[in-house]
Amino acid sequence: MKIFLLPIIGLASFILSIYNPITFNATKPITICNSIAIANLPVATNFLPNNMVATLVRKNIYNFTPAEITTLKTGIAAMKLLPKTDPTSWTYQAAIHGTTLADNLASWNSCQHGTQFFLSWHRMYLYYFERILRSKSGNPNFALPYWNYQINAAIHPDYRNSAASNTLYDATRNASMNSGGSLSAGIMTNINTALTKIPFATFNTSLEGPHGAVHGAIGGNMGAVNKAAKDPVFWLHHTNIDRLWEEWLRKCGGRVNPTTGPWTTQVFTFFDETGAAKNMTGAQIVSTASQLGYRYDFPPKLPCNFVLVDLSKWRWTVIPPFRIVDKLRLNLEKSDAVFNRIDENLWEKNVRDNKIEKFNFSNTDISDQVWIEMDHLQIDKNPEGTIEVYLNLPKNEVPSERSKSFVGVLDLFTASAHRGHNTGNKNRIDATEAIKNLGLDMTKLKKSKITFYQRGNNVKGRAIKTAGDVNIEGLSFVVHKARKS
Amino acid sequence: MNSLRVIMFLATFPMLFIGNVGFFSCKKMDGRTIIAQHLSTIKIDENTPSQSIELSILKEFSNSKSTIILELSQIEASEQPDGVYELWIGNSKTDLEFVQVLDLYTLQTQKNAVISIPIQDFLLAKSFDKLIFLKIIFVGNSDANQIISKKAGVLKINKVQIFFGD
Repeated sequence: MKIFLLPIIGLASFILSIYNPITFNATKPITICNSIAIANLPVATNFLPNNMVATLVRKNIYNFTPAEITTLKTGIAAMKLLPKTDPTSWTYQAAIHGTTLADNLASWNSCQHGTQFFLSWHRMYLYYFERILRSKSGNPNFALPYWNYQINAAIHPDYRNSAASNTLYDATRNASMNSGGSLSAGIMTNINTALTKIPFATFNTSLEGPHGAVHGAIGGNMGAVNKAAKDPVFWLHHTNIDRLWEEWLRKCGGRVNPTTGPWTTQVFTFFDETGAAKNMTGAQIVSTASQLGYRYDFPPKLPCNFVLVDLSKWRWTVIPPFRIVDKLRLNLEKSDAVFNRIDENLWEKNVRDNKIEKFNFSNTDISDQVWIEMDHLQIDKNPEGTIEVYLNLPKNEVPSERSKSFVGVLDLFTASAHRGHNTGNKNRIDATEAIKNLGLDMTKLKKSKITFYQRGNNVKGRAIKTAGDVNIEGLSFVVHKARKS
Repeated sequence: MNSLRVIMFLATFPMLFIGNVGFFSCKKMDGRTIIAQHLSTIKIDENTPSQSIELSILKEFSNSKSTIILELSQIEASEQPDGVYELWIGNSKTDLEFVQVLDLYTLQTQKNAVISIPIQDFLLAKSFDKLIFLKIIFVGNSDANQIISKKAGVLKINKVQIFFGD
């Protein structure tokens, strides 16, 4: 019997092998949007806005204040009022990603998917969209929020409010997601897997998968490439994808952006807040802070190349720590610790012996590092929210991570992990950036002030704080001085 | 008996040149070395929110150092789901491992509806006898009351192949 079946199966297989229908009709017409778009338009080359004075911080939408949400809504409403032919309008900006509209205006349908430009193109897209939204919102400090679905798997409540006036709402989303449902755990697993992938090309591809699954799970406009950017959640989602790219880089271990090839040179065209066409390449977006003027609200960390010191030319002098205060108990919203209390002699000795009156931050690869070291940071009662650390915060300044005085966030997780251990545990926080921003030298640092500020968790637009008992038995500065030997 | 041999010869002779699906050769014309394949439609919808298939192993791969690619092709997605589709793979129906969620969004930008997934890590971590098991599961979004959506959309995958990628 088997002999009889063989030719029949073979023939059937042959027919199947030549029958190759290409059918995907989830969203007709299909947008093939990975073609390279270079508009034939007069193009300006200066891509940093003239009025940008400080690095703006993109924050988690769940940490947005009601005022910031209002700013966001105001900007979107202003964009939606503009005609679709205006490059700064909501419709035009969404159409740059993809559209079902027949008009073929400059840069429309130019999104990059399934290509090496997936991450870079969307970064450029977000950057110019953010500039437009900032301009329309009237807030020069506005930065796009992101949705970290690995922490909050539900769409932010303000995006789910179905009031007719709510510019953040999109009724086409899946009912589950608009009712406060959560994205599935599988998506989060795939994101974590993607973050382990090296080199960049593999990471780029690996992250695109769960990115697409988020689109699909939200559904409606978000589920269709040629409609997705009409949904305000699109911008939260892609800002998070951009943040995950930065998170990937921060994991170091050989994670680097491409430095050669088409990824760095391919030109894409977008529009700024004046409606002027702007060209951009991958080489212009590798550093969000120095090239694009924004960063994410990550806690500070050492640069990847910190340990990659060529010891034949450089050596690190570790200045012994000098104690600045004894036993600090943080149970208030804002606690200041003024230095220069004890071990004055040790401080003077360190400066004198090591001849380090000034810090050298001029070398981009190896600069001096200054750390605030906390002895026996322990939590007796976990506070709700985070504890931010500031250096020389002006008396009347509202604590903000945008402040030049912002150092970072206390690592309460590690602290709690060491609870009960009283021997030798130290927590360090990198103060280099703040000291650099404040222009402090050793003498000024000696007279500096450190402020701890408890930022409550944001629940429905309201900061929830509970007093915590956090003990620090000693605070020190530790200086790593880089010198040519 | 002689006529039977003639029929067999005529029916199978073209396959020797076309290099088809594994009864006589594991090679395809595009140079792929097929490890396993499934050429019947897998359909996911509200009535069948998960589907399992068995793929016969046509080519030994356990000692391979090559990339092993699972390719889902000829995909038709005619209705959006309220959730995601998950892909699981294993060496028995009860020993399956989560591989990934399917990205049907990016698929819309492709001329060919193909999802390619490197799976050597999943395959080489297990021992296989004759079959590879593969399962596509619809996982509905849960709403605020933790009620799982059953809106599975409609997904058809007409071709599944596992092959050496290099």
